Amino acid sequence: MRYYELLYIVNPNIEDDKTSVIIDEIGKEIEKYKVSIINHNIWGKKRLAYPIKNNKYGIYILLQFGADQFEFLKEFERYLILSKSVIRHQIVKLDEEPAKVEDVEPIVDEKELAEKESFEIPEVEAKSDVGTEEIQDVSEVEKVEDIVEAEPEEPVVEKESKEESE
Amino acid sequence: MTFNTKKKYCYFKENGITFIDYKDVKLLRRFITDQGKIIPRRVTGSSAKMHRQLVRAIKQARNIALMPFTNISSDG
Repeated sequence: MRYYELLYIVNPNIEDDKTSVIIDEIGKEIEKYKVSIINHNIWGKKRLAYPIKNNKYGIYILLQFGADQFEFLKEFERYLILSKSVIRHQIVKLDEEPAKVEDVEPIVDEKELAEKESFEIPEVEAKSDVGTEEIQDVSEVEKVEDIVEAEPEEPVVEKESKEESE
Repeated sequence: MTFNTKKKYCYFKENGITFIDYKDVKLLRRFITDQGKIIPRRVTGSSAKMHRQLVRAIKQARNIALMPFTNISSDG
């Protein structure tokens, strides 16, 4: 028996419920060829190293299986290419039998999280700025003007001290 | 004239790695430049056997968009 590993990327624009449907579809498709599936897990949504079909992100899914023959792989790859939801796939032959992994925690993309946080913060600020309190703003402007007027005096003092030192 | 006499060692032999997985992007990142090019063996000092595996793993990772072919912009 030979062991293979298929890593494929699903279009991220589909809903979360539909990814499980696609996984089932592909699982059923490959089971037609008398193949024993070892692992079939979602890696999670990740940022792609380069855009594929104008998608910046993709949902990675890993499928490991064992098969006695290999002629079916051509047919199966054709199915993957034709399916619209799979944007990229790669089948690799494994040297050894892969270990069975039961519960895989989906990998959370750190960059994605950081972006989400940075998006959330400006929204909160925008809400606090909206409406009311124009009168206070005017008084603040006046205060700022006072400070600006006060500041230029200091450099003059410095210049005088420089002249003295020379 | 001074020569650099410090000997380079194979990273994989030092750490007991016998198989390089294309999914292990953290490891592969060590062996590419900022532009995404594969660093030559004479620089990294890795053995010929492991370098062949490494090159294959990086190219597989590039194909499935885990690693960049080129990196023109500054972010990873």
